[in-house]
Amino acid sequence: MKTTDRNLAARIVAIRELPALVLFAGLFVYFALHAPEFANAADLADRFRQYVPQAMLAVALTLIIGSGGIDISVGSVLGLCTVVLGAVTLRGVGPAHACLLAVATGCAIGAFNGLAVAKIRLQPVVVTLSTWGAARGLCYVIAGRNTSITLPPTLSVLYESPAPIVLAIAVILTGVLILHSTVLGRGILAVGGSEQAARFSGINVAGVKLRLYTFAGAMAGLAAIVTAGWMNTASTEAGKGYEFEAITAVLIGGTSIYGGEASVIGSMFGVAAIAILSRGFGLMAVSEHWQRLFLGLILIASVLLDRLRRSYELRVAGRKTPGRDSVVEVVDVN
Amino acid sequence: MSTRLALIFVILPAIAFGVQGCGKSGPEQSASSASKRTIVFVAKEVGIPYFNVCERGAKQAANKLGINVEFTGPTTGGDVAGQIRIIENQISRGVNAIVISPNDPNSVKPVVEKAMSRGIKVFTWDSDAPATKRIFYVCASDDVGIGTEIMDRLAKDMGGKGKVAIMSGGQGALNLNLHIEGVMKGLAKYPKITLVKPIIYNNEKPQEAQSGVAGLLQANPDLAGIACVNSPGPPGAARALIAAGKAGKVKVWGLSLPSENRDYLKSGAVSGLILWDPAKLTFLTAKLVNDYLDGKRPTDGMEVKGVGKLKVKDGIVIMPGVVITRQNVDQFDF
Repeated sequence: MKTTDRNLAARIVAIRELPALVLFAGLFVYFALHAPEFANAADLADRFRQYVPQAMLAVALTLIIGSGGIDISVGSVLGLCTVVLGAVTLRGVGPAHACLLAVATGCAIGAFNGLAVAKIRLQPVVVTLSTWGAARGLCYVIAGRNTSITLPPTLSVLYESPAPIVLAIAVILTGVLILHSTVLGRGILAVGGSEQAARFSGINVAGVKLRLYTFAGAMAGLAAIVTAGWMNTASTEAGKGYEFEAITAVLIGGTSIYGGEASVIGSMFGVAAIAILSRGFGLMAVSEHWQRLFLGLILIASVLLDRLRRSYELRVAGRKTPGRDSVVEVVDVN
Repeated sequence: MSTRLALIFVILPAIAFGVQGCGKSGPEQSASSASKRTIVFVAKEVGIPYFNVCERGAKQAANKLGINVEFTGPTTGGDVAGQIRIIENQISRGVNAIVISPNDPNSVKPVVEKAMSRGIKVFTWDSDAPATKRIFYVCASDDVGIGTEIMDRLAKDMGGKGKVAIMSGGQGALNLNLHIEGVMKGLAKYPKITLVKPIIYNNEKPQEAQSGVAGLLQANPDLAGIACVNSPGPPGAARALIAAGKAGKVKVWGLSLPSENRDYLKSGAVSGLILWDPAKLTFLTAKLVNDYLDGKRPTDGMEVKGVGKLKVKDGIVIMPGVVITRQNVDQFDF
């Protein structure tokens, strides 16, 4: 009897996405009960649509954090891609080419991050902190006095269409497929579990990392296009704070900060939870400071939960070894 | 032991959540009681001294006008997306009027249109969004004129010659860029004064203001004056000048609060401030918006008690400003 209880508990703990799902569902119910305007479907859908950029960044960050790395530059890179989009538009480049250039810019910065992390073996935090600062600086250098450029309506028309949702679903599916059905995905988790072991088992560690950071750059470029469409503007301020929201979503979603375990779907629950948090608290006139504090606490709680789960799983795994099992049997009989 | 500690951390957010649930009931009730008119101010950023003083004016207006006046905004400077989401929350709540100081003048265009289409009146104060359909903009002195006045006063203090530098806040803020334009306009009148490039941006942070000026002094030992167009500028410049032993030798004029500069004005590290009372500006805005909702529009030359004579032109309402020096600084309590 006791053993089946324990098996059930272990199985529940093994569902990495559960805390994020519970948080999302809990917040949803709470807000629906406490803020009468919360459940307005059109406004709620608008809010989710606005979080498409963060969702895209979170997909990339799930893979990176799952590999034991981190990329805190994504918000600034998004800003840079937006400014590039605006700057080339001002010079008469059409929307399609401008978007391509924006994504290319993201890829370039991402590849730079990847090379520094994979080939020169610098710490991801330091590398991406540098690009976080440098990319935002470059935003202002490129923009000059044009810090806020109104774009032609193509992008905002596209934003209002189902395009962003379709794009988001495509990105999420890509993330899930990479993680669970490709050699790269197995490489990511292996590198996150133990880089040295991965290297010894013949995985191209540098190649995995380079591809991951470049992918994050590409996502920042794609997210920049959606952001520009939302605001109908290329602003030097675009993407500020997105890295915090995206990383928080990933960690809430059950991806381990230690690497080796990751869930794209969990991250999406995380993004959804943050999206409704910003709406629900706003409707209840709770100050922004409280919202930040609350999000910070959720973040630390998620990291702690991850740690608790790890030690729990280690204990359960320990019990499953034959020697230990017989000891447990003896105790049960007594 | 450590498990228990960890559990406490997990529970903490839940408690914070619960506390919030109790704390919010007050404002929520008053906001949703449909009989009372609600005007919401959305600042560039909440929690910084300038907007804290603005908030005081909003509270005064609530008491005096017998309406509900709320004050909110993002917690991070330059957070364009956060600000738009906050505005959308107000739209969902169905408030009567929204008054914005936009972080980016063009990015708020779609959300302003959305609000207006739902019958919510939108205004700007402190910083404008001229491309939107906002009803009117309330500002203190005109944005360009205040920059010119700073430069005029500074030029007089410098004896009409020498090197001058400009310090601003965020590169995307329209009002600050207009102040800079005003400084440039003033500068053109003094052929013996040369401008040191580049413009220093302190991102609304006192530390960056101080370090920016420290660097400036090293690069230009013969600097004679600094024109500051945002509030952390003058006190930051003063601290850097005192550290470099150049207080009083390099003249500082700018926009800032008396409370942040009282000691520096008295010691001569800051020569003077051109300013308005942000609380008064916000109070006036709330009053004009309230009048507008009653069907009364502001007119050119109208006298407002405790504020002075207003200039009204092309949807822009200008409140008269004041000059603060060491002689009169103690008359101001903000």
